[in-house]
Amino acid sequence: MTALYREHALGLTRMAYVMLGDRTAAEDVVQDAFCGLYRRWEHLSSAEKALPYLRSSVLNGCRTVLRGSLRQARADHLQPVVSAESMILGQEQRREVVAALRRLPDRQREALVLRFYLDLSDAEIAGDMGISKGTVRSTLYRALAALGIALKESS
Amino acid sequence: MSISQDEFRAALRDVADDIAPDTIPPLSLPAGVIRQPRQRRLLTSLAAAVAVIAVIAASVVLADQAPSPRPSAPAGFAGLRSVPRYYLALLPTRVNGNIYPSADAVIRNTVTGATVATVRPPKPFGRFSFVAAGANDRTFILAAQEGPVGDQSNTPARLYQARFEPASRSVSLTPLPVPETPRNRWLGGFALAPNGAALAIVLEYEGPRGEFETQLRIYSLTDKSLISKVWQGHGFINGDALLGFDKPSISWGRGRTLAFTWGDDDRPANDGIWLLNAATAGGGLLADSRHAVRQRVPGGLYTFPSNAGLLTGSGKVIVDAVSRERLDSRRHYTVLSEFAEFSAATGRQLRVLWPSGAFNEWVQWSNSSGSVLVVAAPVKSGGERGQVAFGVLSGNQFVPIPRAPAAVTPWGAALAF
Repeated sequence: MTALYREHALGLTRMAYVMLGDRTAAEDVVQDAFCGLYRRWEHLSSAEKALPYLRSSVLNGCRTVLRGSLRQARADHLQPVVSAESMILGQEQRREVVAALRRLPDRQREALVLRFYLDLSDAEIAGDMGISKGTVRSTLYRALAALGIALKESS
Repeated sequence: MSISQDEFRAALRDVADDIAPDTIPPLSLPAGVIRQPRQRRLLTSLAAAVAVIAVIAASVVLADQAPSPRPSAPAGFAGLRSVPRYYLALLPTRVNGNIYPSADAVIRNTVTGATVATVRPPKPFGRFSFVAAGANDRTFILAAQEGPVGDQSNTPARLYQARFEPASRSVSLTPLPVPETPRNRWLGGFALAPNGAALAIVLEYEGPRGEFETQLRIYSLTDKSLISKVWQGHGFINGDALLGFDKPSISWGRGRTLAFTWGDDDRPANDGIWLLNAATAGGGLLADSRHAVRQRVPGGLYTFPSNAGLLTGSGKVIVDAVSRERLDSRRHYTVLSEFAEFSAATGRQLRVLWPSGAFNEWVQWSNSSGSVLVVAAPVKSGGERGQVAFGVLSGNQFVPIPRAPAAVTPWGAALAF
């Protein structure tokens, strides 16, 4: 469990942070996911199922956080901490893109993050989200369209 | 503003990089209640937990104070003769390197382990996916689905009754008078009432906001009206899709009481074993049910059932495998597991049936009083924890069932007594 945490905690925390915009909440979600895995460990089919399980748990945890109105309000007003590199790339544009992402429906936001942040395949996204590969593709299509509309509206 | 997919990808990574690699807090496993992640997202193949236990041993100290299962009994042991004479199983088969339940089902003699019949799915179905017990030890319920072995899609399932005739070793397969499951629903389990008059079916699906919804339907099998009653709930019945279908998810007691183990990510206080009054007209699943056994009980930091508590036919007791977490002075977790009996009326634990002492066990079948069980439990071999095996538990004695399929496989056992 400790080795798994060392290997994947950073990536999962970053994924949660992209979706939540709240570092503390992201860390909590990841901790909860590992605790859940610990409790369910003996039921896993194999150790290689651990990471998909963790990703699913993190996705679900992010949904729960976003559903909380207080958290939602916090997230909406959070300004991402900006790295020096990203300042070169365009701080305002990045902020708008991620803010638009966070306004999308759960499923669309999750599919986009899994595809464009984690670079997962349709099959892997389907496994993590519990939907078919066809639904993954249609969700991504709709999500990109919705993101484009949201960005146009914000500008 | 419009951006390319590459710019979008870069924006996400820029934001993610706000979390520096050396700033992640250490893993902390809290002593209190741990919220369960929704399991049903992982509708994939299943699990060899022996290796898993070996991994978790690095951070968890398994209590090993329990008496080891006594050696396997002679073939004539009365316990083996006090459970149903035949059982039906979907045996594991390997396809493209993965293990799935075989397309055919086999019927085996419980005492001898001999395969006495094979049941093949009727056309156009390509496989049996789930099984449950019938009204006696020669009848079983099977779900047939389209697609080859290894297809895990939620195609509609047609339910059949298989009747085994010992004299001729033949099996007759009859479709049950209930509709196929809808295409967009996952079949989560089914159970025939003890009198054979009603069939309960669990269907699961994702709501419009991604929430997990469960529908429990009961069909009358005694008339031709196909009238069904429907209960709805936000959460899931723990047949444990993560494990496939190797645990019974619902069970009937005397009269019209149906037990189910409930999980609800949003309201973990609802987790535990509930008893549905199936005499009601249908409606809210929890509203028409009573919370009989809660997950947390005195005696441990956290107690969780196996997700497959069984209500015995008498309706008086619930039998389950429960695990309790404790923290020792070095902040190591100790996990104690035992098969226990609970009062269906009060939810209180009545007695420990067998302090098995290890993870990964559940009750597969119970006689009417709860005095004889078929359980899955890790058996010791040469002093070491070995494979999780099915056996008969009676009077604190565990007797492995000869040639029973492994209880925990990458798919699950899919067994019905």
